[in-house]
Amino acid sequence: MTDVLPLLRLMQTTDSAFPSGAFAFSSGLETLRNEGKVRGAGDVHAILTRQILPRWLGFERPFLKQAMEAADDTDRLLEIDARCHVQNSSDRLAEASRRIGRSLLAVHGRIGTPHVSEFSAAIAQAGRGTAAGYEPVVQGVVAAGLGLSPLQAQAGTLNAAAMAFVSAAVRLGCIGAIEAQSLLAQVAPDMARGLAEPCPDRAGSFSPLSEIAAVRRNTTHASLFAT
Amino acid sequence: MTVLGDMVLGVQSVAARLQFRALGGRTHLARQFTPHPFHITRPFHHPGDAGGMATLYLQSSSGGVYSGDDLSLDITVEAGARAHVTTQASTIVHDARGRQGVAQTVTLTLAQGARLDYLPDPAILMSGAKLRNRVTLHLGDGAQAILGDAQLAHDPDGDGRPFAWLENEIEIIGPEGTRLLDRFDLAGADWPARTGGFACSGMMIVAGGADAGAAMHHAAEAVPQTYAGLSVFNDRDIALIRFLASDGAALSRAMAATWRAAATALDGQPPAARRK
Repeated sequence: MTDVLPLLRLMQTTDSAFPSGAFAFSSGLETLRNEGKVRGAGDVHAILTRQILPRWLGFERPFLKQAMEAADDTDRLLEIDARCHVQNSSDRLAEASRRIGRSLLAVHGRIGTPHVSEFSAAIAQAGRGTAAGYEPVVQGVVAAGLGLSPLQAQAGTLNAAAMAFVSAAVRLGCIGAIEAQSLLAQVAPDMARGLAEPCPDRAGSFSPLSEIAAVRRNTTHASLFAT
Repeated sequence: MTVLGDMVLGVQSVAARLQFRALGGRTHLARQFTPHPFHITRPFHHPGDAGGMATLYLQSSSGGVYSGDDLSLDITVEAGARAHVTTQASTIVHDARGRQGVAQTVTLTLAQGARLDYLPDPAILMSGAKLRNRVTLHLGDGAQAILGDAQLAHDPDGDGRPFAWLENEIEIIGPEGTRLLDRFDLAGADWPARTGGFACSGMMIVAGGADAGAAMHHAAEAVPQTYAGLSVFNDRDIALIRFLASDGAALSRAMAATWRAAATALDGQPPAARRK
């Protein structure tokens, strides 16, 4: 019972039906498709394994882990969030992260996930407004509140990131629904290998192709996604 | 550095310092300390530059940087002074041959109202190279900086052996604390996958003048064989354009075009071209 309960909550909170707002972002995929750089399943697989997953493992993961460890210390959480703020050097990815983070804060606040209301109050009290509440930091707070293990939390959020990306690929018409599931099955070993590596002490990111795509101002196409 | 054949027996730590000062409407090099392998040209003034800006070229007398090199450069620009510091050519980071690699630490300190364009040519990462590059910019009130940073991977033997690793960190610190920290650790084997096959990567940052971002983006879009994206952080008055380029020539054109656009936006007039 004690092992299953956090797992059930993990599946709830990382499910695509959970209102995090992540559906509004494609992490640069829409631009890459519109510019002809992504044409099919092979290209989607390449972007996912060579850009999206490395960015999550190198950048999001350390903030998630640090926030989880500091979930009952709001001053420390604000420090971690501020560090995430200055290290997000792609403006639209930063904005996406904040929007998702704040959605998670709002929903988890309403359903009473421990630590969440305290962190929300600390953000408000610090006057950080819309410059705070980054997704991996909030995910760490939520994971601690749900009683997840670090590995459960990391596996759940990494899988959610992969699912969100693949879902965007389906909606953009890059791949079909069955191809999407095949792709997720293919990349699961990559994700497992990444999680088996030690979490970096310091966050860093070098996924320039998708980061550039995410911030390119689109002047030729109406956009379905915000990044 | 003590060298016995191919064996490096020690680490060579060398620190260079430059200090610029405004006097009579022109900026001069007030202090310098440039031990080997650092070497500099005499500072000079382009008639077309705004505000008496001094231009200085950094040179290396060693043919690149080698494993064991621990090089630091401190540049101070005093209140109201304006300096343009660049390099004569790219910095070749040689094969570390399994040893510890190269550390480069650059500290740029701008006093109130100062301006610095710091534009080193790209680091060329040879097969087996290891580079730890850290640039820290301290920005006083009203100071402005244009900061370039670029790398390219080079496999001279064409045998598919990548550089070993690159740790790169750019930090911009204002009076209130860190405004931006762009950092990554990368194994050379991952370079082609992360860059989408582009050989070169770079960025140009304007600190203290986010409005220059649009001009940089417009300039970068006109450079063939590049792929560029602009981020603007109005809350910290920073614009950052990141680009990928298919070869060194395209990278150099992108660096030059974005710098020129940024300088024009900041100064209200185009800067004089820098010849190399």
